[in-house]
Amino acid sequence: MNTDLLSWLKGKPTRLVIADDHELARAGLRAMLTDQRGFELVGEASNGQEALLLCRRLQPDLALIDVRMPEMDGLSTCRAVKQECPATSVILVTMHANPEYLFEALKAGAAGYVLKDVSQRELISAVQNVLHGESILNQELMARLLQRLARETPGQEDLPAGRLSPREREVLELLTKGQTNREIARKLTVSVSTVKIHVEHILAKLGVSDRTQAAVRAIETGLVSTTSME
Amino acid sequence: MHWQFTPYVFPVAASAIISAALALTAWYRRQAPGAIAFCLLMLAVAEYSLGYVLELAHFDLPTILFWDNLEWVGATLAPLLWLIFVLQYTGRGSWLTPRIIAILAIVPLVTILLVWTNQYHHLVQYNLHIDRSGSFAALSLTRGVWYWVDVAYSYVLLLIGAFLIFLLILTLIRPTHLYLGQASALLIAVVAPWVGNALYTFGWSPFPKLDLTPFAFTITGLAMASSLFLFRLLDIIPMAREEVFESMSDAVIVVDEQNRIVDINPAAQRLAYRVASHRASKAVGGLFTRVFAAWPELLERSRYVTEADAEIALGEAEALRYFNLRISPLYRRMGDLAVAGRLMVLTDITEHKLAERVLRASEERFRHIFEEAPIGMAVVGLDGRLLQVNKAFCEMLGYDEEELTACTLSSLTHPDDVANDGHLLEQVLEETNSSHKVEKRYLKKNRETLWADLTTTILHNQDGHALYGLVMLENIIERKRAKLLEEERHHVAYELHDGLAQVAASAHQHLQAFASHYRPHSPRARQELERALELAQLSVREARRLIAGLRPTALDDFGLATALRLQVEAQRTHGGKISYEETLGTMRLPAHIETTLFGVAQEALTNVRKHAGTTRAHLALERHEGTIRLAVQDWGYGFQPHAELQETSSGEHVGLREMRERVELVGGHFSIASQPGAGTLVVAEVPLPSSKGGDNFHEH
Repeated sequence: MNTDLLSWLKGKPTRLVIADDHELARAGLRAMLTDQRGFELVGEASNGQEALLLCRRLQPDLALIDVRMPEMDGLSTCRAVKQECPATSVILVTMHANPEYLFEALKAGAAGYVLKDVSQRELISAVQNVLHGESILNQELMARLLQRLARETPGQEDLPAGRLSPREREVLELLTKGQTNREIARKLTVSVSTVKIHVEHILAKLGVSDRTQAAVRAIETGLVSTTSME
Repeated sequence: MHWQFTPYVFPVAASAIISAALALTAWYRRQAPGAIAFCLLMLAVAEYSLGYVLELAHFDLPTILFWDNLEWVGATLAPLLWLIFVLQYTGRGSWLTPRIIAILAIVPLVTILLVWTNQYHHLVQYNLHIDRSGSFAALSLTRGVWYWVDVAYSYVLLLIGAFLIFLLILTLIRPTHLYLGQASALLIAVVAPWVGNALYTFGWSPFPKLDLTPFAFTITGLAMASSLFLFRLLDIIPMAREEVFESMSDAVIVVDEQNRIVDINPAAQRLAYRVASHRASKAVGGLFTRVFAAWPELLERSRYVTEADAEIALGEAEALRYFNLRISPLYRRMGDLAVAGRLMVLTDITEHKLAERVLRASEERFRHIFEEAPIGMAVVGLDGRLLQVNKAFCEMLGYDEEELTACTLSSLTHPDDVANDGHLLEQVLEETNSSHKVEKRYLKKNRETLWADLTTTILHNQDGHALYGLVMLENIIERKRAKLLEEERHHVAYELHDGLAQVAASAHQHLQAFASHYRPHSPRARQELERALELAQLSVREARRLIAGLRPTALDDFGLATALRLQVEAQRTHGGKISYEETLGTMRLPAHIETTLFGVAQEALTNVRKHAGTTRAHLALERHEGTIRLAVQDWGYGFQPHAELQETSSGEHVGLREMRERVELVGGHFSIASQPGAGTLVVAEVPLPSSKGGDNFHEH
């Protein structure tokens, strides 16, 4: 069960943590996120170590982490947070838009990234999408990065795949191809809300916080075969 | 026995004694050519004389006859020994094979045999009786056939010897008058036995019954002895002198007062006639100026000169030869010291001259290299004083050569670097045969700072003693600038990223927050807000563009392992077959180490692409305990790493050197293993500081 999603659906505000070594940057994010319905900024960290401590203590729904920080850089912080608080989704904030950044972010356990000059609308939709189990990434780009991940990390971890229903497996397979819920629904001739439920179950069963990491996990564990990716 | 006394005994006895003494003297000098023959000759004469003394002292026929017969031994052997002596003395000893000696000895031996058997055949003499008509009893006889044979034979031998001596005298008196004494003595020695024997044999003697031959041979002995002692006959070997003179490669010419050639050796003749082979000595007797007319330079230089030692060049172009011309005056030996002529010796020194020229050219070349080398070079005494400096050295420091050679290297050192300076020379001196390189600052004449790489090499002599230091000074301001520029870029990128970009991004975010709270109602206000938002976003993008242009952002954001992987992948998309392997993972290293190793890897991969002629390479980044090891291996052309690292001419080698410097700057070790055809392995190993010291040094 994705408790965060449920809590959001129940109207509980999403609990956010932001980490950036620049006060100005934090203030900017803060200004864009506070007073938004459904968001609650529960903590701010000025470096990686602080962010990790904060997440450990607060178990937020989502953390916005700057890539470049002293003490512990963004990617390391992301990895640490995901290890200690798997339910917390992480969105990295970066100055540079680069597929490499995204790839590194995926491997570190992030749901995606936003640029520093992201518009308020984009930022809020990114956060919401992550929490809804939707992808925040360009579909094509996502598919390509996942293929590459599949090449580089052939599935080794033994995950009880049996726990996923055949339908969930189908959904997961399409999901790793970067397809949206709408596309999956059309393909499987079911309703979008049914797909959403399947995705929720998949996230819960795989023990991941977001759609991106579900795909990453599926590939890392070999749940989705590499050949099917081509 | 019946004795008689006659005063003739004294001269004959004296002759015997003198001859014996000469024989003894010659024996002591038996190493000299002909000395042994001379010794035997004198012994023969002594025996002859002694026999004669005893003959004269008796007056009964049998006794006289006995001594007379004994005399024959010495008398008949003396001419033979004379000839043998002359042959050996004049350098013709090689003619005297045992066979020849045996043949020559036949007649004397037969004579001795016949003398002692005369009573049976009277072939030598007959009608023997004692003639007492004179003042002493003398043997009177009639000569037989063999007597005349023996005399004739003896005369022939004496004649041959005399002829050879005359030849020798001619060669001795020809060049100079120095050997006149020796020659005169020899002349007397030759003539005396003849005269003596002829007087007695043909009865022309004023003492008809007295045999003058032993006296004559004693005179010969005395003359020889005078040659021996006064003119050192047996010490100076005339024939050897002649041979040296004839065969020597130096041209020797002797001219008299009238400039007429008195003697000339083959080398001089070859020079005179410009021919390779020895020609007959038609030059002798000719005028020097005519014989050597082909060499006006020689004539010019030797005219009116009695003493000289000078270098002259003869001929021109290809045939030009250099000679050392020595002229010395020759004086008459006897009488006053008037110049009798001149001796000229021409030694060909062309080879020497050419060798000297080659050496000089080589020296000149090295001096030129030293002088024109683009890096500053100086020779420094062990006291630190500059002995020699080149142009570049002067230019680098802004002083002229005279100013520099008056001071020491440390007096030019920048005040901040002087403290380390003193140890440098000592340090290099301790390690024999090594050179030492440091980065140092110097103060130019205009008080500007010169950044330089100083390489000091101590040069040793063969015994290993330090002689002086060779100092090479390389202006590294460009490198220094590049480093400063790199640092500056890093700094600017950092400032942009952490400063301006953050401010702009924040402004953008705040503006958006503002807009969401106070949405403008008029279209004009909305338009202005949109414009402001656009500009804020644009300034973030501008900052981003600038940062990306200044530095690889991946290194700062992801760390070394990832940045290297990205680098490798970028090259793969350009066709490089580069494998990558790392055990570092997400571990972050101190920023300066990451920057350094990233730079080394980049440079090494660039070298592979540009110079190794291959696209295949392997990049490995490993962590061993407290060390990070970066290795770049290729399978391309390879090279001689020593030669490449020392020469600093081409760009790639500067690259190698800079890689080394960068690694050493962070306390690491850099090595290159390469062989032509076997690829290259570049390894950089950098120790990690203890984890407490590192600021952003974390491992997850």
